[in-house]
Amino acid sequence: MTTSPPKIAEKLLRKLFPDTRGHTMLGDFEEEFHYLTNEKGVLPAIFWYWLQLFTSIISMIFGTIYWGFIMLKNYLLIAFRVLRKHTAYSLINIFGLTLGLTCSIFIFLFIAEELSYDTFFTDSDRIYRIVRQMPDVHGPSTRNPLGPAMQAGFPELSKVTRYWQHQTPTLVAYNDLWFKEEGIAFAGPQFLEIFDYRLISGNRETVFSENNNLVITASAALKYFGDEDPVGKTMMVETKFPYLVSGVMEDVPGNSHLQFDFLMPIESYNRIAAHFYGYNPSEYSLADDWMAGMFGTYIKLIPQAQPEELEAKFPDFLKQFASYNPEVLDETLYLQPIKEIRLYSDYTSGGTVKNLIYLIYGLIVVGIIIISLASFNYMNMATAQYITRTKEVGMRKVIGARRIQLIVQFFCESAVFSVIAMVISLLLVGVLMPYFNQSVGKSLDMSFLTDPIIIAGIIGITLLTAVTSGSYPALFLSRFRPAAIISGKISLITKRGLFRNSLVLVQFTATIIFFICAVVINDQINFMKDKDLGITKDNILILPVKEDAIRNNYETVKNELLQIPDVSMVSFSAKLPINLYGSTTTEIESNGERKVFELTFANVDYDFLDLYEIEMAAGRKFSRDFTSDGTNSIIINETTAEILGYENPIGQTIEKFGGSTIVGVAKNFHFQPVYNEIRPLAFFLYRRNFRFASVKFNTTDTGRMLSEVEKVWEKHAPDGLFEYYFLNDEFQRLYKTQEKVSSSIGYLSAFALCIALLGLFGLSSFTVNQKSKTISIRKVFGASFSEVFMYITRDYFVLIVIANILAWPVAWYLMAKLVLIEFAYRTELGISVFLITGVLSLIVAAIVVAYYSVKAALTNPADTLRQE
Amino acid sequence: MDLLTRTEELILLAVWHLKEKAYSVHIRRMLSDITGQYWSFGAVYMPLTRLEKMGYLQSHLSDPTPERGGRSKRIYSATKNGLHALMQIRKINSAIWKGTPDDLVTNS
Repeated sequence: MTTSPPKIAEKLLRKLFPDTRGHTMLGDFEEEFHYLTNEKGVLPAIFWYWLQLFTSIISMIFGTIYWGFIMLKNYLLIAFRVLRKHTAYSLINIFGLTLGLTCSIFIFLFIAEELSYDTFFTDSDRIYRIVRQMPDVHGPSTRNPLGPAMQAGFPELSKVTRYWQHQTPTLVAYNDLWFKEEGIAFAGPQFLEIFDYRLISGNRETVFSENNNLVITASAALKYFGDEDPVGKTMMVETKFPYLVSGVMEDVPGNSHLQFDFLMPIESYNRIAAHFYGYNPSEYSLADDWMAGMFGTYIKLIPQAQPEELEAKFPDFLKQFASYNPEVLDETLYLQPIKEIRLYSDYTSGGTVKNLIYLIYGLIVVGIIIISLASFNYMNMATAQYITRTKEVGMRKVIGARRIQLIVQFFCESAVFSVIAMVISLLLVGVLMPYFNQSVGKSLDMSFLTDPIIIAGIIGITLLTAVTSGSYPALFLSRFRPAAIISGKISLITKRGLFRNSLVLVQFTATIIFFICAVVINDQINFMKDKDLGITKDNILILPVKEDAIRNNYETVKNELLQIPDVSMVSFSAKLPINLYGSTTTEIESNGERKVFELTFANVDYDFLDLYEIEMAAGRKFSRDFTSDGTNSIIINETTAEILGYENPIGQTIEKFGGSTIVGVAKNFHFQPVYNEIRPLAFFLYRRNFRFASVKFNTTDTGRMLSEVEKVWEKHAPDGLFEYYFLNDEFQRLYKTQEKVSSSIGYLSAFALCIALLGLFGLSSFTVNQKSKTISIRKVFGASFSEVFMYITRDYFVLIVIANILAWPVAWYLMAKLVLIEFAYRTELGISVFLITGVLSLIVAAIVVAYYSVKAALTNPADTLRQE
Repeated sequence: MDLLTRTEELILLAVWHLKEKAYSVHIRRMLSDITGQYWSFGAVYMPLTRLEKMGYLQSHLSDPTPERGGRSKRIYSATKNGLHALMQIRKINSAIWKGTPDDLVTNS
């Protein structure tokens, strides 16, 4: 019987175990196979053959691991020896890598936090926010009664809630303890069923069974109640609205777009709104008004529902409500997945919000650049260093190291450096965390070390650094033939100079770009802060008006305030002129043409324009001499006048507002942060819902003035609280976000600068070392100190100049075309920023290079030359 | 000169016994028969290679044979050094065994 061994097994054996030593193994196996077939039969023979293959593979795997481990131990040992032997070089390397890694960890943490927004609710995939697209604006504010209407109209919605974050700081008190709270939110009864925050006490379905129920977060409970159980206790809102605490929930996680401390039934919103906006809650309900579009609407779909199908039904659905407000027919509703809210929202209502995802992309790029800069340092230093190690490499090759072993050796070294740097970085991250949180406005802590995704990311960053840093030395230095290395035929110095210089060039180019961006953005913020607003904002005290007693008697209060000698002028208004939002789509007929635009209204009293020194372009200010001013006069700003397009706007009547007559055109002034352009604005003398009193004073003794003002205030509102702030302080807060961005970029460029300087420092030490003989010979022939100094530093100056030339156009493009374009009013992007950066970079580079250059220039040539 | 290990001794002697049939398959089978233990091919290859490196064995490739799938076998023979090494081991063995009774276990 002639059978042959299993073909597959034979093939595997041949591939896996090449018969390098001429054992004629396959022949032996086949002979044994035939022998076994004859003795015991085919099956045992086949079994035996496979067993041979199987056991061989097992021993091969164990062998590989065993020898791999032995070699790894050796690689690591060598790496640590290198580290110890060249201490200065190692320190510079580790320091550079640490800076790069610290920076990337922060960037990584920032990105991870941004990506985790709103992903932690049960069935986050089925939760959507309704977004409203109007002809010229779109955003998440929907018609106030939309939520209940949707719930009644669509069976595919499992839960619906309305949500409104109260915009004004509100007084919340428990017994004598009171605070101004910003985190007041109103929501529908199903809110907590959609957003399943953990309830510490209270029942999810019934916490809002009464209209005066209140759910507070754990930190609010601690703040007001300490160890007491808050449930069943009554808290006062704005001193006159009692709320019964019915539940306590965990604090809202920071990575959610919903942020609140107090959650109240939206049914109770009307009375709070009536209090703040000054209307009668029994006559009108803001929450049920189809004319008002403020509330957010959130829905949770049933599992089988398709969001696209639901969206398709919205237009027909909205037609039902056209009788309440025909404008809804011009509106399109669509669904936004809750997970995308943070990063993919690009809404125009309520100030400019940018799509954050671009920031994330930008940060990823910056993170990679920073890591690369640090890796370049390592490459540069390692290459310079390995030139002194060529003999070692040659020796290893002679002894029989294969190229792959040298590559692994070099990668092991970069890995050791990276891991050490990572450990130091994590410590550094812990130390710097508070500053980081402060500058980016997050509240991260070291608990990320328990998050497997973050840990995987950090390990990933370390590996990436190790691989990029080690790649060049590993692939380049392992290439040479041993004889050429040992005999010194290969001049690494001249050949690799270009490579090292280009690495430093890239580092400096990137650093200069960072630096210019930081300066320009800082300039822009200062520009916005210093720009003449067109109004005065100095020496103005702001008193929020909360009490009807003051609101209704404002004339009396005003007169009494004016009795105080330090007070020169007082004005009541509904809004403040530096932060004036709340526009309405307005349709006005002018010159027979219908003009539709967003108009912002400001209800003021007679003295407002005088107090803020708003100048008039035409016409007059409001005046008590004209009785008609009290009912139907209006003052518009220049932007509005331009849109309306009257040749002479004074005296024109606008039908829209019950026949108001334009009595004046105010010169344009910035009533919103300067990054917004000046939009259409109109002043009315509607003297009912004033919310602020502006007090102009002419003294430096604000303490005395304040106590006088307080006396008047308390006389009229003895139960209320006396609150005040200065307009200038409020103004400084307008640019907080921009300042955070600016300081973050500042830190980033400082990190990049440090890394680049370390690189330059290392490189200069290397060059001086290599050129020591040349320098000495030059000195012997009479070169002066400055000539030697110039000889060494010349190349670096050229390098920095080239880096500047490369960086300038890039920085200019980034700033002029991508960043400054976002601001309506921008600072001049003059040549001076670039020139100053250029000169500074040269000076800083000179200082860094100077250490070794001076050392070299001062060395006695005999010391160097004697070595030969 | 290092002494042969027991495995090397066994293999060298097997090669000597097998003469022109001294190649891996037969060596392995002989060792298995004599020791009554399982010998893998690997256990034979390694000492064979080592012995050849030390100069105690020499080898040549035979002509291909059909029962090996048309592959040749490597036939080993002991060198003079190999035989010397064997003799040395034998001398040591007999010296150390000298005077011991046939049954060590019962007569100890």
